Amino acid sequence: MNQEQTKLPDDFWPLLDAACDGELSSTQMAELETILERSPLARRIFLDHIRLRTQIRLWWKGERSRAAGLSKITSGPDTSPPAPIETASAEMQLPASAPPAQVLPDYDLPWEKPRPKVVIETSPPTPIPWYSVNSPIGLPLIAYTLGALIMLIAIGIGAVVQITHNYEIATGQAATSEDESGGSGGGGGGLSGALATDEKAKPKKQEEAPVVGHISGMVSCRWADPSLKPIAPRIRQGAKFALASGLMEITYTTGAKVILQGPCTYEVESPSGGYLTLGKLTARVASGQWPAASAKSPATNLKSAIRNHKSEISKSPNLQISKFAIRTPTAIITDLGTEFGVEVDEDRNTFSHVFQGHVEVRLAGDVSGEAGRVIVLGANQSARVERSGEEGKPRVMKLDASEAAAYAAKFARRLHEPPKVLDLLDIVAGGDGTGNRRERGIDPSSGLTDSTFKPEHRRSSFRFLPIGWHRLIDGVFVPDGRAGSLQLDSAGHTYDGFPETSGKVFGGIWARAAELRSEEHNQDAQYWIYVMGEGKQFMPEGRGLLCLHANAGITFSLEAIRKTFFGVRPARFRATAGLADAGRFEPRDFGLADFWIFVDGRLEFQRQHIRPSDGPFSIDLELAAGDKFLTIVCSDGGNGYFSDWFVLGDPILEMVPSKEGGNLDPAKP
Amino acid sequence: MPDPARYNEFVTLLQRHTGRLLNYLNALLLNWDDAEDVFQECCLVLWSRFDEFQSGTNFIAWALRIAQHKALDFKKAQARRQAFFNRRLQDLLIAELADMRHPADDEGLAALADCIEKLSEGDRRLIQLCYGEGVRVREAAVQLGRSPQSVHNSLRRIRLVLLGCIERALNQEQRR
Repeated sequence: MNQEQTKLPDDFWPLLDAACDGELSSTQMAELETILERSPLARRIFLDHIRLRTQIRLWWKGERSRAAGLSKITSGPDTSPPAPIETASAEMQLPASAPPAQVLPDYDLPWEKPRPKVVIETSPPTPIPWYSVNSPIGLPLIAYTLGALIMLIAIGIGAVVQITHNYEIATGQAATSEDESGGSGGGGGGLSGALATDEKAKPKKQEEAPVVGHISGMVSCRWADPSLKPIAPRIRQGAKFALASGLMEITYTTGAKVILQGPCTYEVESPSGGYLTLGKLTARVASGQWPAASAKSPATNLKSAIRNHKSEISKSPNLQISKFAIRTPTAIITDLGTEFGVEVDEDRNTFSHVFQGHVEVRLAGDVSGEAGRVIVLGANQSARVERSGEEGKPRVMKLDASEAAAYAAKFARRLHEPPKVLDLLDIVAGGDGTGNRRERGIDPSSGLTDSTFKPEHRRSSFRFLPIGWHRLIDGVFVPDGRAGSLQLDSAGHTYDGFPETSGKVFGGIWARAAELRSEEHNQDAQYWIYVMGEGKQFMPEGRGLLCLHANAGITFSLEAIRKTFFGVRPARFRATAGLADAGRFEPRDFGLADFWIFVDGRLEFQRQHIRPSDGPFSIDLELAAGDKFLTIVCSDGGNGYFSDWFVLGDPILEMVPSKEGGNLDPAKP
Repeated sequence: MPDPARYNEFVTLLQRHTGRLLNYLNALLLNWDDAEDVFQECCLVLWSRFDEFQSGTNFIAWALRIAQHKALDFKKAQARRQAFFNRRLQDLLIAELADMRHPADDEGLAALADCIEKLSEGDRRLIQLCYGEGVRVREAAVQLGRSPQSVHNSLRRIRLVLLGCIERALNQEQRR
């Protein structure tokens, strides 16, 4: 290493330290960049140190998770991919069983209580009692007792799992359920499997719980407990998530989907459910989750399904594991083929609302199915489980329709949040305004897309050209007073006040990225969008430039935007406009342009004879809830269209909630 | 249901190259929390584009490009809070990582754990604090009653010790 050090600049090592220690300033980053670009040796050392830093982080996460008794998903580099939704199939090679040491606590703990975290305390040494594992007598005694207990429980559970297994064979799911049953019952099935064959009795990776699903989407997630932040999409049984805010969707291997709504604490207990300690979730169970119901006609299957379900539960509480169920501190909400929401408040009361289908709400710990302690909720019905009376006994009660409707609005049923801002550059480049698309354009003389900037003179067609290939762009045109009254949008609004122009446009309407790549800095004035330079004065937010060389007009459909983004509407159009300076190629201030903004054909803003020396100016236009079209036009200022390098920097539509409500109802477009 | 052979190959490749992807994101973002978030998104993208995956193609080159785009998107979304390596260096790092000998993640982590065990208690505590828990050097220096520069120096020394130790351990493992 010393030899290597001599080949590198002296300041490399302090820069590397700063990079590894997360304290690199912008200036230092530029210095490090220069060294790394020049020296392959520096790059190798840099990557070695970064790799080490990554590994230490992973190692430490693993250590913390082991100390907290968490499953591996929250710790080490288990970044393997999510299991396919179809099934936990044989080729995935799931671990055959969970280790007995992890199985026992699941059965020892009462069903309704959350499992406590293991806390490692560094207490001072105390005398070892005879029954301790550290005692010479205690260890064999406890081992013997545990062994006997495991055998007894396994025999009992083996019988139950056999029933489940036969049930699944009868419904055509036997091929895949055996692996999953190892996880579904907290290890019971796995244990019976372990007793059944020698191969399964030797778990290959005892520390790995089976995969039960994957993270299929996240929106603005913030974590209440960073140690529980997932770093891989694959989810193993026992994985716990503590969301401070945001939405996270889990797709189980069975196809069931759960959307966690922060703040929320949820543990993935099995392939068929989880434990909600606090917060809200919405669960959607795929069809076929409940074969007994789906096997019959829709008209008759519900009653029989509920009857079958109750009868199965009365036979054995463990059979609940074959249904998708959400446990909470006070209730168990079992799916009967449906979509439902569950909320647990800080007093551990449980609320459940059904959007579609039916669920059964049962008091936690109530496995006997006593009348009055179990209710079945249908679509648009809600129930609340709360503790009441001096003894604080939980009771379950249905809520009336108005309360139910209020609860329904609290749950996120799909994983998307309405945008607060729509980027018009992204829209011009082919996106829906929520992305970062750039470097594409539209030809205002033909309405076709430009995939590269075409420095050519294009003639006006003297008419409005509707855009059929992009739902958010209504159309384009080349403004020219010689055409008389010119159509601005597809609703037929017209304007007859445009001056006579050259009737030509140079290039297209172009969405330019904020950054200029070095190869684009050339001396060819035709590529004005790049030759004009960085253009930072026009884009304080650094989003990019809408290059609108005279003569060009474009109309955005505000109505289509409202339909696309349900629950929000455009409230303002903001941008920084101006004429870029072509002084390097033309006489100073040769460029001269007019700028126009119309809403539904009404002229809302106009500025004429804009020169480069005027500098940038701000556009901030309020839009009403019912406005349908926004039209932006640049025309030459009467001296021809040469060097009319008009730009709109950071053009956006600010979105605000509309009266129609939030984005939580997927039934709306 | 995807073709099982193609699916298995994809799983194997993604598992094998996880370390490289994370390293690349860490190298670009130089923020371990951010890198993990982007890595997660990157995995989701890779899976969503499973249909594009062709058996026998250069998987790591494809995956690193996706990681690069996700990192760029992330930086843009952060409204340029921080500088970013230029495109040329990003590409050079991709080329370097694609060629680099990279031990399997489990192998590398096992060697690291052994090497950390061999560190002194003070050194172990320091890397746990700064690299594990993510405490900034200045805060760590205050906690430990030392100067920030001395903490930087110690961390560099520990990194070099660990890199040497891991290399020896992996070489030994290879010879067996």
